[in-house]
Amino acid sequence: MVGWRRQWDLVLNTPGYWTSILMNPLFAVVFLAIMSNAGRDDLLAFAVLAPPFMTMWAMSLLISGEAVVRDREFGVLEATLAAPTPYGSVTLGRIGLVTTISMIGFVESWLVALIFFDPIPIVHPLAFAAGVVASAFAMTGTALGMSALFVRSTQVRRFQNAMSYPFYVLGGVIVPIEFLPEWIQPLSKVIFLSWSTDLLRDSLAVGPVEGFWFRLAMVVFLGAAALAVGWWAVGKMEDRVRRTGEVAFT
Amino acid sequence: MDAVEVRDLTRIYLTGKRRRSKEEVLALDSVGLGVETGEVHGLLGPNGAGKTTLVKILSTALLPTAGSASVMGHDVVDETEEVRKRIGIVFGGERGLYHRLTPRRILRYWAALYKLPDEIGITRSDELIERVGLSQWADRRVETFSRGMKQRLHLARGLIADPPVLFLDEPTTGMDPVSAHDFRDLVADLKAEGRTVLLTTHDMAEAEAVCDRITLIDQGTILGTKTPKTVAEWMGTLERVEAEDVPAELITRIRAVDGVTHIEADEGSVVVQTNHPQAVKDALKLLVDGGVTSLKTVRPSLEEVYLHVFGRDRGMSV
Repeated sequence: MVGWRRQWDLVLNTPGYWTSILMNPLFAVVFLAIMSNAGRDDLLAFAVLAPPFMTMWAMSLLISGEAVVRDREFGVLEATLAAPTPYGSVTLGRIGLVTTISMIGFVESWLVALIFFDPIPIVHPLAFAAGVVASAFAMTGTALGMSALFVRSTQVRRFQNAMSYPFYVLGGVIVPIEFLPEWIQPLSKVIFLSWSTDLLRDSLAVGPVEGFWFRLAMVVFLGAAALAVGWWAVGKMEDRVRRTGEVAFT
Repeated sequence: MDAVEVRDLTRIYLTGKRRRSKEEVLALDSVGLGVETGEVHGLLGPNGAGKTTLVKILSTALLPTAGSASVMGHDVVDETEEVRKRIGIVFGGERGLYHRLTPRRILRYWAALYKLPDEIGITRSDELIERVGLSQWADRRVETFSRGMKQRLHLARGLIADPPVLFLDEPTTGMDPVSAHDFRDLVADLKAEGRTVLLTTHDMAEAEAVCDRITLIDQGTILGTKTPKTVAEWMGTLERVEAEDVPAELITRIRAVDGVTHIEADEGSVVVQTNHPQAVKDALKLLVDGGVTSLKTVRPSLEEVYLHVFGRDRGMSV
């Protein structure tokens, strides 16, 4: 991941990237209020974890699409493709940085719970921390894969919007996967979010985190698979724009 | 070995959105070119001639359809990494910069993309900012810059990796005359440093002023490689004189000057076409001696040169 500090300059100077971080506390208040008022303390873990996962997904997907689109709009893509650093590495660095920043969402959610509701204890902090880091890695890989799709689209923002809530539902971010029709549940299992959210919710619960290592490995495996596909796809995209000459099209 | 070697290079673009109805557009047609090490070589041609396509291929941003090209002995298709390490690219115009960043940030970012260690990237960014005269604005956002300032920053970006070969694609687009003059000095400095420069332009005066040799290109075909002196002669030969409030008797006398090929006269305004530099001098002398004070000489456009020298009518202005 090349030029993290330089990527930071870009991210810092693009206010749009920060919107989800600003919205995260609001979602946390709404979700926690719904569960508290409904007396569903068993679902408080969903309420506190859903906003940061939504933030992470939204920010990572935003940057994965915006990075290419903005480079193209500014006319920077051509020169970047002709630089010694592979474009996949540039994109990966940018996505990785934004995903890392998006983890602020976890702190925000817990602070909202602490200030406006009851504190939510993290019963297994090491498992929780490992789950968050693995999720960020998987998110980075997934977003890199998405960026290769976005670069071929002229409707990136619509595409990004369409990729949000369906994945929150399929990934068990908002509601338990068990609430979904049985036929669709296997699909959830290939989305890293389902493993991540399950793992983190269990790390908040009293009692052992069953199958911790396997579930953590699944998050990392799915992330690595997406990363490999993304790396390959960005390379293909690079080949394609060099072949077709569509580097500068907007 | 030439720093840049191009052999039978062809590039065809497919246009149109539907796969079946795509049309082929020939951008480069079996182009051959050699740029010697340490040379400032001009690629002179009107818009759409294929100059930018050639630079994109040489800079590895675009693949050729046929033929081959190499930079410092490295093939642009098979050895892209080696080529990229050795080149700097400067595209003209407003595009190519992150508007919300400052020159200092932008150059440091590109230093990272060229894999320069942090300390070197920082030092070189500062040096280049000073060299292109942007020290005063080093920490201001680029979105507040004039086109000329952006162009100077483009130049600095192209030099960040200290490349032995530079591709300057219409680098003075949008520059004011003072900046354009400074740019010419900068190109002379680059040559003195031993760098090889391939400069594309549609400005004959610019090509004549800064290049060691000039290759003329039009509609994807190389028309020939000439010396700046030849281009200067073309400009002088086809220069025309424009004047206001010219008496009819004086027009008749100018018409009789040897080398005046055509006169357009309209209510005292005249345009005198010539085919020899001496004819311009003679016509000017007659006008001044005749008391005409509103007059000027106009250099031929590239289109006019192409029409007269190569007999190519492009049917468009350049």
